[in-house]
Amino acid sequence: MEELKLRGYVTPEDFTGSDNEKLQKAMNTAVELDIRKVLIEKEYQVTGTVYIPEEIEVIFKSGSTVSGNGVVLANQVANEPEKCSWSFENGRIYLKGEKGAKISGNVRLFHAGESVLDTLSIDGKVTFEFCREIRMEDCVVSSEEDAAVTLMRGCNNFIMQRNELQAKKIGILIDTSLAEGDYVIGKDTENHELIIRDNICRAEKAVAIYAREAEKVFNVQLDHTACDNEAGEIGRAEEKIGAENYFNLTVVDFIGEKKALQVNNETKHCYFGE
Amino acid sequence: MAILNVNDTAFSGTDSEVIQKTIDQAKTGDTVVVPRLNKRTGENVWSIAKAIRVKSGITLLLDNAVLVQGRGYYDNLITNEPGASDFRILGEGNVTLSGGEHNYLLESTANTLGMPAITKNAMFYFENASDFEVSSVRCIMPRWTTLYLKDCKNAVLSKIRFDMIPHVQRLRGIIIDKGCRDITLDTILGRTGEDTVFLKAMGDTDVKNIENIKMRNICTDSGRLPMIRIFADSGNRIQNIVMDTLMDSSDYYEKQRPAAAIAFQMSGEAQVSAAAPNPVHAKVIAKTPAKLGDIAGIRATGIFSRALSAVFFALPVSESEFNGFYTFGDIVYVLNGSDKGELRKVSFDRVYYGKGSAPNNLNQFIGRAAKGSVAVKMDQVRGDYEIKNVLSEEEN
Repeated sequence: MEELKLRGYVTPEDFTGSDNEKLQKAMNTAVELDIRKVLIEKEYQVTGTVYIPEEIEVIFKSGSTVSGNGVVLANQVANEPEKCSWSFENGRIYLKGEKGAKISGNVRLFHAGESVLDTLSIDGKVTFEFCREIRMEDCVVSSEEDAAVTLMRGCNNFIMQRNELQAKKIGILIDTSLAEGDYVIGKDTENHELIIRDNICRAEKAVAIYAREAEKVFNVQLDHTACDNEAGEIGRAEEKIGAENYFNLTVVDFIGEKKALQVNNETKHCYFGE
Repeated sequence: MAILNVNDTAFSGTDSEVIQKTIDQAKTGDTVVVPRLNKRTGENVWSIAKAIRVKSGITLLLDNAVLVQGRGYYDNLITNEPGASDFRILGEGNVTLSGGEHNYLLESTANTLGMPAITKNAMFYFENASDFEVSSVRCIMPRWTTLYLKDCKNAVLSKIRFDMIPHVQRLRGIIIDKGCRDITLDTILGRTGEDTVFLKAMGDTDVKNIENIKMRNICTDSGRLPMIRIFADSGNRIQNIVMDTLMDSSDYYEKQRPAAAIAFQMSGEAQVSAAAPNPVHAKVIAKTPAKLGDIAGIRATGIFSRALSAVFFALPVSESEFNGFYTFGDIVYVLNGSDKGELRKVSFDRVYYGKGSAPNNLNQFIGRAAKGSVAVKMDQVRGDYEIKNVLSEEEN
């Protein structure tokens, strides 16, 4: 153990067991010994989710892979949510990838705060639910699902820049009606303070923003999105809600779109442009 | 280009001394790594009693490290060798830089009874440095301003997170003092006790300018004070300032609004609002007030604010543009100013006054419209300015 502390990081190869077990033990030990850094250097095939504890840095070194079906990486809180707890959250998770590292499977952050996804290459989707103060930069996400990156309900204070996102239908989906996990009393379910810029989206629609009545999307700066098909849409054509639910949005400066942004709902104090 | 881990050296001494000796030994292109574990003490913390002085050509990499300013000492955490250039201070992972226990050096006690200058309490103090970068660090509990730059050129401060509880006054994020030019602030997050950024060109000795400052993705809670404060006097000038996306992240459930997103004003100057009176501080009388042309070339776009005033003018400002005000929550005014404000060739476009459109469950704010609150309250501001595209359906 002292050796690990002196070395300054933990790797799954420090442990025995299945790939899942080795990865999980590495995460847990990094926290127990207050080393807080995990290096993933080899190839791992997981059969279940690896849960990332809080206040940890996980670096996916060049040549490493973590592959599995469904959600391969999630924050610890996603494992066993404690209901009815206002302070329920996982924080300060840094996930960093080097060139040539790959995560094959989905990544889910749920009730996570002050966390960073940096230069990751993910063959899968990335979802956020009840997350705050998230920075996602220089990542490549390629998903066979409907959306590459989804901000479900309760996401605020995001900065997402310079990512390359590919999916069947939508590059960046912001939707307050989406929920996977349990609700925690007192948690804000709206999506707000989102800065999303300089991304490349390859999908039917680059972006889609959906609110629902009394669960607004507001204070959004979304600009300089390069796309190869439709720019996207604000609101659902088949479901009209009050204009105040799409509020203070700047969605501008698409590059390469074959169809301009569709605004399907009344909005308030928004600025849309090419 | 070597990587020098401070734990792997044979140097002895205090934490500050070991780190400093490693830096002093490093050659141009080397990286000095401060890891999480302090091998000398066996603890996961480095106690810094004397400022770490970075020199030209090196990278100081803080690898999940926790550095705490030493108790009872009066010195910065990190500063530069005089004239240092081409250096980087980079954080990796969970880096925490802490002011530790306060040393009672305040603006009111500085330079008295043997106390040093207040700048000794800046966590990072850079003077006469160029071509440098500070990135990816989290700064908590500072003793004064966290980053202070004076006479610096070509610097990037990015991905910096502040976590401050205002236990003392003047806990600002970043002060850019005169003589600075070509500085980029990119992705600045968290909570500051007072102004997140203060462009300060003051005083009639050594008149200099602040020029070519770019700010992008400033997403902070600046307490009760402005997110960006700009002040010049005595012939010093502030020119070519670009602000691209300022987003107020203050928690409207829990605290009072900030004073402004952008304030052209000195701190301590009363900002009296008939609609929402603030406590009156002692007035600061500028030695020689700024004149038209001293503060010019301000371009701000994407201002998301719930402040008392999104922009407040108590100084002359010229040849400037402000586009895209998105206000919300308990905002009182979008554009506001005092009789000290004077504008020349200033334009405002897309002024969206969203007062009252507060988030869910904020019933105590909805409808609590302060009497007299309006989107534009510029009746005291002189000069010529143009306001276009005002959307304001919630005036009182």
